[in-house]
Formats: sequence, structure tokens, C-alpha cells
Amino acid sequence: MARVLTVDDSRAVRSIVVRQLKEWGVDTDEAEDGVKGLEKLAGATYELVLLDVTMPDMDGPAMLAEMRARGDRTPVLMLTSEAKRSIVGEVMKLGIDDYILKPFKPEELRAKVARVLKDLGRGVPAAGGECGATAGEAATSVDGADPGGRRFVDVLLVDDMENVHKRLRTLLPETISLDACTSAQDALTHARERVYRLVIVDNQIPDVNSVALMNQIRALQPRATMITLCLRTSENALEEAKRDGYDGVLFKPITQELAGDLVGAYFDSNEILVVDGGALRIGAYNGREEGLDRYYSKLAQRVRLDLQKVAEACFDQVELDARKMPVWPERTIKLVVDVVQEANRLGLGLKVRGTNDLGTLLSGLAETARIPFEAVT
Amino acid sequence: MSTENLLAILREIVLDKVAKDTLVIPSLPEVAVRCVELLRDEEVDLRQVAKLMERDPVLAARLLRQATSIAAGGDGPVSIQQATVRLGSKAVRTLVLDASAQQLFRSRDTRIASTVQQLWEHSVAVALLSRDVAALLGGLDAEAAYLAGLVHDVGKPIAAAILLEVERASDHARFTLTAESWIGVVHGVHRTIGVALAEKWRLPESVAQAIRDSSEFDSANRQSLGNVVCFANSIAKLQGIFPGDFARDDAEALVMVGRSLLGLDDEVIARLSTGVKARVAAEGN
Repeated sequence: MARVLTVDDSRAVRSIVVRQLKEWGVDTDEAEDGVKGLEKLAGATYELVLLDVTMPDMDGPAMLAEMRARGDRTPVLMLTSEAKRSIVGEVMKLGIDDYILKPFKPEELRAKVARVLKDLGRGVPAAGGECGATAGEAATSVDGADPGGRRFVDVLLVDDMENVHKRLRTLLPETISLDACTSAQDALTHARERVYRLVIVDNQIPDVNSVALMNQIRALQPRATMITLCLRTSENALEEAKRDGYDGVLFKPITQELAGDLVGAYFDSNEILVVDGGALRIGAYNGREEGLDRYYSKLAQRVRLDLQKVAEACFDQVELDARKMPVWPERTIKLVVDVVQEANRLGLGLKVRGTNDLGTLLSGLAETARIPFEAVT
Repeated sequence: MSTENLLAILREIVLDKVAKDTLVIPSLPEVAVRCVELLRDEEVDLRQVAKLMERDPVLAARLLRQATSIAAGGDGPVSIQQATVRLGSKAVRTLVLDASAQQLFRSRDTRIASTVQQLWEHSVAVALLSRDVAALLGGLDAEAAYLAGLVHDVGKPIAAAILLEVERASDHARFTLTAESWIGVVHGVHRTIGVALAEKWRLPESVAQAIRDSSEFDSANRQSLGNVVCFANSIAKLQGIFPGDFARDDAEALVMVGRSLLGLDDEVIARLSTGVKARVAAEGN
């Protein structure tokens, strides 16, 4: 278990930090000032020091200077209400790994501690890492909750034709939220007021330089994926789009299959596999046959990560619910074999639920014939 | 004469002028004043604004250029009226103030003209970054953030003009202004002048406050315009968009604090920073 030293003259702050780190599976010692902090460091090895600035007897910068003078290169994360550049600049020269301004959100503490410990090859377990918590909680990641409280919307579509808006709305699953604009100004206003996962920009809006518009939206939506909506006029449309700075292409006219591919490429990472307690439920596939390879590749990646979460949540058995998974013999077998191997490595028992077709397939192979299987119609 | 002595003289002159209300702050051009006045009304008839702007060739050209650039496509010029409608009242107001502010960043003195131009580019960079950060944070007026970024250093060229007057009036043996020295000297007085300009131009109080407060973070009021401008200023400097020397350690410290203060992660900062130079160049075209 990773070991951290928190040095702060406030008992309340130390108490909060110790409690939060403990929830995340990190062992924490305390010291109330720089003198006691140095004593602790002399007597034990720590992977990280969380260090306040203003403390009696010996303040944070003085303690840090003494640490470094002694050759102690333990990573240090400043946890302080001090925001003056001169003081932060001074400790940066002595070598700190990061900085957190009080009061702080638990997510920030967690992210920054996790990053330092990860750099040292140590992990901070997923949320709910204590035995008894559900892996469902473990699967939920705090993915940058918008600090300004802006609304999250999945897709922003910019196209001057309203019938394109309607078409895309009918083709996307209802669970995917969509904003649609007919003008560049509207699009920029939306981009300032909301947070999007995917932005689709028509390349034929009258009087609009779509590439320039995309770049402006990108600056406001740094985490969004940018897609150009265009006619398939050349075989190299995707390359051309990437040269312009887009991440992908959606061709007009938009068909059900193309919409399904879009969902598969950019949204199925959440719907493709859902962790539900000790069960991994595989989501349905709505795209074209050509997209199955990508679907299985994504599934393979996700299964590995989510099995880890189930194990960390202290389940001793996992159920793979594959009722909705399309059966594609070669890839299905490979996936199930991978799951078996990974489950064995993690010490998890495995059971599979699926269609009769899947059961028939698994029973026909030595590697998978012995897996407990429940056929569900 | 040393920089410190020059600064002391300049500070004394500026404070004296402020106290006697004799500090000459450039006014907004008449057309700009009337446009800004009209645009205070959110339901203004933009045709009136368009008619005003037609009278000022510089503003008109700027308006047409902006309306046919980012969100437009080079299909040929549109009319002034179409341009004002296309951009909307907020953007037109920002454009008018932007064009007026740019006039302040010009100098006929060849020793300082180049540095003043670089200072303008720095101001545009800070304006663009401030607007983007404000938009990301939400709850802040992104256009006010743009303005605050644009004018955060506006006191510097005005202070430079005062320095040139002092130089002209003094014995050249005492001091001679150089391209390198003036920027360091004006650093100590520019905020006072900048705030005076914000008040004279009737810019929002939040903009004046941002000019005053943007040298250090205000941790008590995290999502303030001053904090946004302070952060954007440091990013622009680290991207190399700043004339002369600056304390890199200071800028790095401010970015480190700003990340936590404003709740921005490294990936977001990298995205914001990428392409700033190109965006500044595009604004100038």
C-alpha cells in the first residue's frame, strides 16, 4: 500500500486528507509542522509528502529546503492556501510535483495524488476499492465534471439545413442528446455555454469557413471530437479531413448504418460494457458488419479493465452477460478465452450467460467447453 | 540613469497627474463612443449601428473583415448592415473597443514602435485566452474577459508616451529611452493608467478591476476576471508572446497555481495554448 505523509498545522485538514486517502487505499501519516515532518521522514520511507506552507516552528518551504539539502527527493505536493507567486516560485525551484489550492475538491486531491503515485508505479485504487463496495461504483469515473456547472450534451451539429438536424435526431438513440444549430454564431454561443462530447460541422454551410469554425469550437471544447459532415466526393475523404484538423468524417446522406457507426465509434465505450456489481453486461451492437472488428477490439480492451475493477471490489466470481453480444465465431471465442485467462489471473470464478448460439459455440471448443454457461432466450 | 530612478520619476509624474486629474487619457473616437452607447441596449436596432460605422472607414473595414473571416467564407464582401447582423451586438461592441484600443498601441517613435506592436500582439493573445478560459469556466462574461485581456496592459503604451515627453523635456545626458529599457520602466505604473482608461471609456467595472488585480491571484474570489486574465497572461508569456524579458519562474508559478485555482487540467491548458500565435496572427489579417 502506498504511504504518504501529510504535513499541516491544521488538524482538520490533516484529518480530511487522512480520511480521503484511506478511502482510496493509501496509508497516511501526519505531522503538524516542518520539524515533526522531518522527524517522520528520518524514521520512515514515504512515497509522497503533502505539504502546507504556513506552519509554526518550521514552515513548508523551509522543510522542503531541508529535505532537498539532505538529498531527500521524495515527491512533494503543496497543499496550501498560499497563492502568491513568489512563494510558489520558491518551492518550485526546490522541486515540487504539483500544487493544490485550499479549499480543494476531493477529485483534485485524488487526481494529483494518483498521478504522482502512478509515476512511481503505484496505484490509487478505483473509487469503492474497499471490500464490500460494488464494482458498479468502481466503473463510474469522475471524468472532469465541468467546474463551471455547464450542461453536458453529447452532440453539437452545425448544419444550415434543418432537415439534416431532424434526420440525425431520428437516427441516433434517444439516450444520446443532441443540439443543432444552423449558423456559425449560434454554434459558437452553444460552444461557450455547454460541454459537448462530439461536434459535427457541415462543410457546406453558405458563407462559412467550416475549418475555421471547427478550430474556434475546438478551442472552446478542448475535449470534444470534431467530425466533418460532407459528401463522399473522394476516396481520401478521411485523410483530407484529418489534414484539415478534423478527427473523423460523417458522410451525407446520413443513413442508419452510418449513424450506427458513429455511435459505435464515439459512444459505445460506455454502452459497450456496463459493470453491474459482479456482472459485466455486454451492450448490443447497432452498426454495420464492417464495424464488428472495431466493436470487438473495444470490448476486449474494456473487459480487461473492468475485470480488474470487479476483482478490486472484492468479488470472487464474475458473470459475463453476453446476451446482446453479436456472435462472430472467431472473435467471440478469442474474447471469451481472453476473459477466462484474465479472470484466472485475478482469481475470479467465471460464469457466462448468453444465447443458445453462443452456448453451442463455446461447448464445441476445449478451451471454453467447461465454462459454466446459462442459456437465456 | 538607472531603471529604478526612471521608474521613480515616472511614478511621481503619473501619480501627480492622477491626483490633479491632469493625466491625459486618450478618448474613445466619437463614432466608437456613439456605437458603444447604442449597443448598451440589448434590443438596439443594428441598422443604426451600421449607419454609424459606415462613417468610420477603419471601423467599417474591421467589421467587414471580421464578418467575412472566421465564421464566414470569403465569398465576397457583405454590406456593413449584414456584417453587424451577422456578428450580433456583443461581438460588434467588442470589435469597436478592440479597434479603438489598437490605436493606442501605435508609436511614431522608432525606438519603441516595434515593442509596442509586440505588446499589442501580447494583449490580443491574452484577450483570446481569457475569453476561452471564461467560456470554459462558465458563469463569467466571456466578452468582458476578452476586453479585460485586451486592455490589461493598455497603460504601458500610454506610460511610454509620458516617458517620451519626459525625455524630450529633460537633458538627454540624464537619460535616453531605449527599445529595451522603456518596457521595464512602465511596468511599475501601467495599471494605474490602465484603470483610468477603463473608467474614461466606461468599460464594465469588472474590466477595470481585472486590470488592477491581474498581477496576482485572488484566492478568495477564484473565478474572477482578474484571475482569468492573470492566468491567460502567464500562458501567453510562456508561449513566447511577450515583448522583452519576463520572469519565467513567476509565469510558471502562476500557471501552476492557476491550474488549481481555476480547476483546469494540463490537457485543457495545452489545447488552449496550441495555436495561440496563429490565432493572434489571424486577428491581425
